[in-house]
Amino acid sequence: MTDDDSAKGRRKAPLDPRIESNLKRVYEEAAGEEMPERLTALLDRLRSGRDDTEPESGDVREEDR
Amino acid sequence: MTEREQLEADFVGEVPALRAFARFLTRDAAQADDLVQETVLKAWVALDRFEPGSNLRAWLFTIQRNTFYSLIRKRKWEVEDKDGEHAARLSQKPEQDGAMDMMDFLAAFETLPEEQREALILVGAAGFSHEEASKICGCAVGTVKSRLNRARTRLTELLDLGPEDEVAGDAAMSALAASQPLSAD
Repeated sequence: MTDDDSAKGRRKAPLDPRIESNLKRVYEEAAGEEMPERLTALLDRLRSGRDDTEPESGDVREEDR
Repeated sequence: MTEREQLEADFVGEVPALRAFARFLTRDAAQADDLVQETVLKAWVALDRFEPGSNLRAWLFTIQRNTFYSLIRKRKWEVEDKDGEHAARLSQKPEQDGAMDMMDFLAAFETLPEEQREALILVGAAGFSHEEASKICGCAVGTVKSRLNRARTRLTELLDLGPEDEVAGDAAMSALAASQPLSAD
């Protein structure tokens, strides 16, 4: 960890490695679960330009951009 | 491959990370996928407004987080892990190395306030910097650091961790985590 890292907001004091490793493990397990069919199908439709589903909760807010 | 096609491919590649973050936000598998679906739809519509060269994952996480709290307000989603189902689902693999018991860890993690859990996931698991996490959460960098510090202190107390508790299994766990770094890039 360098001063430059600190200046950029990089992590300075790491978590306890045991906590961090468990966090990562849990996160990776969730990320690694098989994608449900509806999500896979949605992504396929979007990439092919065939999806006209509207999001339920409105447009992306200004702070999202 | 065009620039747009590359961006779309990168977008799709971030969906597993969105699912992991959604799981921690909603603490429910079905709601998590509802949230990811909603996030994907919103973000795809807004994809032309994504600034090339900026952090796509951070952009998507920000949209997902805002979508989550928007849905919470509209639908009054319940996010309590009433039966411990979330904790049980997240890690069903038994510990074999004597390291920190995962169920104990998850039980302790669940007791943390929402904003502390969020900070831990963003920085400790998803690999975002403090600055990136602060932008995602819409708060100051110092606030993220403070939340992390309080979360770390609380977990250390709950799990009764100390230097003397260092066990051989930690090295293996750390190596496992380091072997699959989760970059925010």
